[in-house]
Amino acid sequence: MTVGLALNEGDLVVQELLGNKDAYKHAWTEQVNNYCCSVIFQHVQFVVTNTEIVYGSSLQKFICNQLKIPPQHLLSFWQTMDASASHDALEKKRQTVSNAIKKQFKHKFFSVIKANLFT
Amino acid sequence: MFFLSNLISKNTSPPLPCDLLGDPDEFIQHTEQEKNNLTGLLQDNKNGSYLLFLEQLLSGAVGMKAWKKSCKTHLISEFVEVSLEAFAVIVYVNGYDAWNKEFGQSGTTEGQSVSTTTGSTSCAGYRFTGDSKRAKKWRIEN
Repeated sequence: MTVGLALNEGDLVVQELLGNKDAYKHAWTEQVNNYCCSVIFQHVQFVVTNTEIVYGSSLQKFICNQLKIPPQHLLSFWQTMDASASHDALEKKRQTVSNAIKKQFKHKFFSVIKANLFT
Repeated sequence: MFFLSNLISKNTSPPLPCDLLGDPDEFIQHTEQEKNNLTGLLQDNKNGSYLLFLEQLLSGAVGMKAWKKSCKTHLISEFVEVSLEAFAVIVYVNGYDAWNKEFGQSGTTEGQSVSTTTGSTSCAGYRFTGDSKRAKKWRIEN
């Protein structure tokens, strides 16, 4: 798992010092997206209410812990990153999985005509 | 041989949601008793429809790479989370009628179009999400 390795505490502090908020936000959001799609989605498919992703929720703690966010930057990270990024990532992943199942459905059960053409 | 195997596998019809889930009442009883797995579905389904669903469609939820890596060497319960399996079932039940219509089949018969959860009949469309809108109201303001 490479999630969390792209940035470390040093990078975070440096980017904050440089005031490059956009790059800072973009980089961490990308990390959260990757992590939510690859790991979190296996266990949590739906975020129904705000309370599930606010600062202090179990999901926030788990993500920040796995991404190795420095404790002193937890709050600023979650606020800067836009907490709905985790929800958006799960939503996109849900859509991806739905499309994949639909594609499998078509491929497995409705491709007889194409197969017949080649035989 | 490749095409023959394709034909054999593709001649099967997609499992009906009502066959997949079995009797809704029994399904609920099973899920209450066995909260750590979905064996209730595997036991109650008709004509092996749940097994067919797992074999043919679960790879879409798991990902082809992970599926090919583990499907022949591990139990499904060892590499697929129960919630993900349940999500795949929900997606399938939700989209069955719409996909059937889209891909050219004449749709479900009169007896098959009855909702497995509510008992109501519906036109060919997404069963649960047909009327939903993308709700953004819950977004957190930072």
